[in-house]
Order: sequence, then C-alpha cells, then structure tokens
Amino acid sequence: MAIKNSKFDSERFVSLFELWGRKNPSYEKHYEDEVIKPLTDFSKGTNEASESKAKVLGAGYEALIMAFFIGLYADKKLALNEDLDIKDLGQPIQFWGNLDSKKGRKAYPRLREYMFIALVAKTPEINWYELDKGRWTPNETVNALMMTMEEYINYGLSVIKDKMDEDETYFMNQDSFLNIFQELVFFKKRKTEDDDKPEPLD
Amino acid sequence: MIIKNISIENFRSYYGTNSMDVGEGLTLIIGANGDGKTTLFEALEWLFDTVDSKPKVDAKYISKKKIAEMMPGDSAIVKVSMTYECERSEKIVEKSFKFTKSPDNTVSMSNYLHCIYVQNGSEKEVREGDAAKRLFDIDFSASIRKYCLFKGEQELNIFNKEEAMSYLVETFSKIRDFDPYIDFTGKAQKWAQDAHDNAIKADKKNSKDAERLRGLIKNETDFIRDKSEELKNSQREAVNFATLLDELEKNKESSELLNATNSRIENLKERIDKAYRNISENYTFRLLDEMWILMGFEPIAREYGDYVATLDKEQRRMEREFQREQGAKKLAGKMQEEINQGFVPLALNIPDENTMREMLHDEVCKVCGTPAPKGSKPYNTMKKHLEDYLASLKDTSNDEEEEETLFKREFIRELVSRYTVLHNGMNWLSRLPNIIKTEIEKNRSNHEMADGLQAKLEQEEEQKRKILAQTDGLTEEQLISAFNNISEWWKQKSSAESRSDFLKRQIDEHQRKKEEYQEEYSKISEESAAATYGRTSNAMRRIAEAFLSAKVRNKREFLSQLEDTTNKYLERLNRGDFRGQAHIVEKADESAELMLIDTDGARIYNPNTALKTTMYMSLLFAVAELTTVKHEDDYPLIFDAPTSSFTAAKESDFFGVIGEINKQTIIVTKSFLNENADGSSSIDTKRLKAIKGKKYRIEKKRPFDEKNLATIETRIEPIN
Repeated sequence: MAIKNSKFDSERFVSLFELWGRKNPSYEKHYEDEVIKPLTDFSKGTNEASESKAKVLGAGYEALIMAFFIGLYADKKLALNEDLDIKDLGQPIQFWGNLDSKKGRKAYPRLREYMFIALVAKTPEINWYELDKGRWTPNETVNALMMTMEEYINYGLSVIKDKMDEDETYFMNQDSFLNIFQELVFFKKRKTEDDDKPEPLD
Repeated sequence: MIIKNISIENFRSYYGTNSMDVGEGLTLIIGANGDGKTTLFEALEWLFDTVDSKPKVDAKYISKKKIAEMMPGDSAIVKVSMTYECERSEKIVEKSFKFTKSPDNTVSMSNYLHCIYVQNGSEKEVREGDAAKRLFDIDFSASIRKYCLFKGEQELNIFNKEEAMSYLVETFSKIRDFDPYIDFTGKAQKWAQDAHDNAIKADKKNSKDAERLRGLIKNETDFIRDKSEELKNSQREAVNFATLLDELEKNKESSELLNATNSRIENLKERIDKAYRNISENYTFRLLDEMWILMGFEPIAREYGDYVATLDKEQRRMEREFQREQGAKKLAGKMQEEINQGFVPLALNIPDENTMREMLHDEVCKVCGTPAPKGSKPYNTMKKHLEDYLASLKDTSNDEEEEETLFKREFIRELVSRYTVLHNGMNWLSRLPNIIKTEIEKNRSNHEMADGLQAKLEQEEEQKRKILAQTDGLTEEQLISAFNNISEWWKQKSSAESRSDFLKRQIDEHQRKKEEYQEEYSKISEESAAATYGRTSNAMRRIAEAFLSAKVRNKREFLSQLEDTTNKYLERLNRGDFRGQAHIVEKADESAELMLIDTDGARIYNPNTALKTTMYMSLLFAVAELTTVKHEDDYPLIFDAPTSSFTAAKESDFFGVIGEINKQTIIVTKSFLNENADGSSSIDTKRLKAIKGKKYRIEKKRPFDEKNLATIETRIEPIN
C-alpha cells in the first residue's frame, strides 16, 4: 500500500500546467513605465494614464505575452538583473487571455497551452526522470520553466523598449508587432534555408 | 372620435344653414374652384381652434349675402357646429356669434359662444367657454389634431415641421412610460452613490484610492458632457449644410443628369462601405485573439514532440531496466527475453485485442508486414503477446500493490498527453503563415479597391456640384461663383460629418473608461461596509442605463413599426404602379425624413408628386392607425385638395382604396367634375359610382353676379 500511496500522492493530482498557471512571471520594474503602461491598460487608474490615448494592447499581461514570443522566436534569453527592482503584475498566468469583459475582443485561453509547451521544449535543464522518480519537486520544475519564461520576456521587453526609444509612436501602428514577428519568423526561416543550401561549386 | 354631422350657418359663402351627415369611412365633398371648398375647411379650422390662434369673431366670417338682405337693426348668427361621437356618447361642439346690422350699414358682432352639448340620457348638459375647450381637448386632443387637418399637397409631409418627429414619437410611442423609471433610478443611483461616497470617506484605508478614482470619474464625466455638446453642434452644422444642398437638389429634381449622378454616387458609396467593412486590420489584437502569434510555432511544437517522445521512450526503457534489475517482478520477467534482445517491447495493450486476433486469424504480423503462418516463430510470438495481455486483465490489483516502480509520478505522461492534443492542431499551425498572408493580402486588395472607388466618387461628386451650380441664364462668372459656394457647403458638411464621427468615437471610448472606473470604484472597499452601498450604486447605475437603452430601442421599434405600416398603405394606394419603399431616416438633430428607396436601398430622389403625396398620406394613415391602437379611440383625417397632381385614373384608384380603408376620412376635392360649355360643371357620375362612401356636391347657387360677393351662396347637396 505504501508504494501505491507514493505514486498517487497529493502532488500527482495537480498537473504541472496548473502549477505553472498559478505563477506570476517577474520583470524588471523599470519596464513598467517604459513599456507596460504606455502600451496597455495596466494601472489605468494613475493620472498619466488617464489621458484619452487608446492603448495598443488590453491587459498588462499582453505586453508580457508579446515580449515572451519575441524572445522565443529570436531564441534569446536575457537573465533579469537582480540588482534592479523586480516585480510582477499580480495576475497569475491562469487568467491570461480570458478577457471576459473587453469589448470587441476574443478570449484566447488556449495560447497558455502553447506557451507551456514552448517552455518545456526550451528548458532542457529539467531532469524529468528525477521529477517522476520524486527526487525533484514539481515546484522546482515549474520554477525552472518560469526562469526560461522570464528570460524570454526580459529579452522581448528590451527589444520593445529599444523600438520605443527610437520612435515613441512605433507601436501605434497596427502593423508593428506583426512586422516584428514576421521578421523574426520568416526572415530567420529564410536565413536558415539559405544556410542549408550547399555552397556553389564555382 | 367619429364625426356624425357638420352644420354651417352664415359662414362666409355658406348662406343660411347647410348641413351634412358624415360617413364612418370616406366622405367626399366635391366642388369646383370658388365653390367654397376651402371655406368649408376654414370653418372646421375655426371650430377646432381651442387656443384662439384665429380671431374668435371676425367680420370676414359673416355671409355677405346675409348682411345684404338684412334690414338695419336686424340680427342673425354665424354658427359652425359638429355632432360627434366619443366614448359612446354623442356631443355637439358649436361656435357662434351674433351680428347686427346698424342703420349706417355697418355690422357689429357680439355674444361669442363656444359650447359643447353633451347628451346625458334624456338630458342635455352644456359646457361653455373654457369648460368647452377643456372637454374638446380631451375628446380630440391637440396632439392628434396636428395630424388631422391638411390643406393641399404641400402640408402633407408632417416631418417638415421641425419638432414633428420628436412630438410624434413622444406622443404615440411608449417612450414616455420610461421617464418615471429613468427619473427614479437616476435619483436612486445618486442616493446610493452619496451613501457609498460617505462610507468610503470614512474608510481611511481606501480613501486615497477612492479620491483618485472619484477625480477620474469626474474628469470623464466632464469630458463626455463637453464633447457631447460639441457633437450636437457639429451634427447641427452638418444638417444645416445638408439642408442647403438638399434644397438645391430639390430644384433640380427633374434633371436626369443629376439623378444618374446621384444613383452612381449612392452605388459607389455602398461599394466603398462594403470594401471598408471587409477590412480587418487590427493586427495587434489578431496576433492574440486569433493566435496569429503562433505563426512561427510549428518548429517549436515539433521540437517539443521529439523531446517528449524521447523522454517517454527513455522512461519506459528505464522502467523495464529497473524491473529487470529487480529480477523477480512478473511483468519484467515476461519481458526479460525481449530486453535482452536489445529493444523495448510494445506495451501489452498495443496493438489492441481485436487487432491481435485479426493478425492471428490472417496469419500476418500487421505491425511489421511479415507473413506469420501458424506455428511459425512470429505467429507464436503474437499468440503469446495476446495471451500475456489477456492474463494481465485477469491479474488482480493484489499483484500491483506489491509492485515496486522506478517512477512514482507521471509528469512525463502529462507532457505526452499534452503533445497528443497539440498534434491535432499541427495542421492548423502549418497553415497559419498562409492564413495570415491571405488575410493581409485580402485587406490590401480591399484597400486598393476602396481607394479606387473613392477616387471615382470624388469625380462624381465634382460632377454633381457642377450640375447643382448650373441655372439657366447665369454668366460664366456667376456660374463659377455658384460652383464655389456649393463646393464650400460641401466641404463644410463633410468636415462637420467627419468631426461628428470622431467625437462619437471619442465619447464612446471615454464612456467605456468611465464605466471601468465606476466598476473599480464600486469594488474599492470590497471587505468593508461601504461595499454594499457600492454594489447598490453600481446596480442602480446599470438599471438606469438599461431603462435609457430600452427607451432608445422603443423609439426605434416605434419608427420601424410606423415605417412598416406606412408601406402597407403605400402598397394599397399604388396598386399596380411603381411605388418603391417608404423609409424613415432619423437625423442627427433628432428630426426625421421620410424618403422613398429602391429595392437595393438606394434613395429615389425625384418621385413624381402623386407618388410623393401617396407616400405622405400613407404615413398619415399609419400615424392614425398606430394612434388608434394607443388611444383606443379613432379620429378623422380631413384633407383639402390632396390629389391635385393626380391623373384621373390614379385619382379613381386612390379614392377607391380610401373608400375601402376602415378610417373616417373627409376629402374636399374638385375631382370627378366635368366642365360644361357655360362655365358650370357637372359630376362624372360613372366614375364616382365606383367609389364607396358618402358623397356631397358643394356649389354656388346660380344665378349670381360675378362681381358681387353678396350674391354668392354655397349649397351642400348629397349626391345619390
């Protein structure tokens, strides 16, 4: 009976996806004023955000999702600078994309599943056998996933900030994010295909 | 109210007493020019006037013939009376005054009387003066009388009067019923809001946040109020310039060139609108809402699939190895041989039982495609696999309980099952880059199309302005100046319209923000006593909004009902003829316009006058029908010469239909008259016979002196 208990201990009933969903990714606090507030409705109560400017994105986490995918497709992680103030949105991942009350928007809860998949694929340092053997805790595993996520986000936020430093209104254009992703995905793809071609003989 | 009888005494050309019974359907009163048609109409206007907009007594009301035959000192009366039935009781309303001829042949007037006789059983009660006015206003309310008496074709368009639309809607729809509720919920919300504010002020913990949100809500409220005022002005300006241009257009109604241009403009506008509607360029939101952001996800999904497959395979291998090392375990023992052979065997349930049986039956291993005749090694292996599987089903959990496993958790299994779900979406992931490309291409081509059409539209509008500027006899200089004027109006109208659109969007956006702040404000003190007030205030606000939106919806429903009913009459009045469709357009300044549209929704700019008249009359019948439903009481429609633009055939059809409509309608007309050689006229009895209803002829009694008004006497005679 003891063996059965260990296999069906309480941890087993909570999936990693659920555990991950309860987390809040951290970011360097300076990005809040530099990226998150200007682009999203985050902290819309403050005076400076009460201007009538329509925001490019809705909830604050949407800036983090954009940043995450920029890091993911660029395949670049950037560790958070621990010397700086770190904070999070206070809105766990499990609520991202639910968008219940937004007018004219569609909910996209399934995107979370893809993000989770990407994190698993891109966090090779997790020893899954040790986890299933019970020598690693699910929490340690999820923390490793979160670190990957935060590093992708951190890189993505730095890219967005650079664009905004160059041109404050860069993201007011509906094409901007689309162009960034197309550039990352298709340009990279073309480059890889070119690299794969054999050198001309002459 | 139903009119039973009209009686006129010494009123202008109506010398002596003339009386006629009025039918419940159509009553036709036929008379030639100068026979007293309009006088009859004026007599009724005088009788119906309860606000003294016309003189109470006036010498011009008195029959000249009567004065002429009176001796000095003689007196007589001018009287117009009407017997009517209202709420099953018969009443007579009467206006009269006395006139006396003096020795110097002047006339003095006295004893003005306005009274209503009410038949009460066998008794007759009399109400005089203000009491009579009040009673008449109840029986035949002023709001309804506005839509009752119409002189000529010009007056028929009730929407010409600026306030007509709001008056009509307020009087006859149910929207006024909402007002007390809107009023109450507004007040209730204010009380709850005040209570909430006070409770929050007392709550030190949240007061700072609350203060900030109150400030924001106030800012939004002020902003919305200012912008709404600006929007009203801008809409008014657009309507003003549109009216100027419409006036010009009316004068050119017969221009075929203008009509052709208008129809091309409408068509272009529609196509431009359609092209723009098909454009969906909010790419940033689509990246998230439609998950376009996964455009580069396919390789990552494959990477995950490979990774997880490796983890799964390795885990199974490790588990077998572990089992082998443990040595004694049943399942591991069974697999020992295969493990020694250096490969990881399939799970016992793969392939499934049915497939295994089928393979044995067919003597083929369908996993590797090798023939497996009975007795051969592959055949025996398959047979053993099936037996092992069947045996494993019989095994009780007792064995399992004792079983020790290397992996105590199943997180790798979670990853595997997640891949299985992902695998189903792989097709979509590989198509996604193309889906996005196609969408972007579609938007681009719609843009191009809209731009091309826009350029064409500008050319057509230029052409239209030129047509509008053209008037016979203008010098070139005048023509250029007229064209410049029109172009300027056009510009002002367009800029006012786009400003209105911009303001509307701005107001909507701020309204949304305000709602969000209000929501946040009501939640601010969720744990404290203020929360209840907050929730109440929020609920009241929502109820008030619901009533307001119900009021708007109700108004739209009323107008749409009015439009449907108008079309029902329009169809009847134009049977077998082109009629288009009546359409009521609500304008920004809350006025309305009744117009004809084609089946494709394009406006018909120049309906002929007869069609226009039937359209307006249809609207009047529709108003009458809807008001009858609302007031549960009918009222008559009285028209003076409404069909002067009709051809004889159209007129016969028209009166034929009116005769069939179950509605008291009195029409004074010069139709159905044939002119005789001596200047007199006679009734076309053949045509008239086909019309249902009561018919009267009004006519000057012959002979008369053409130059002397005192010889004129109008007689009313029934036509049998």
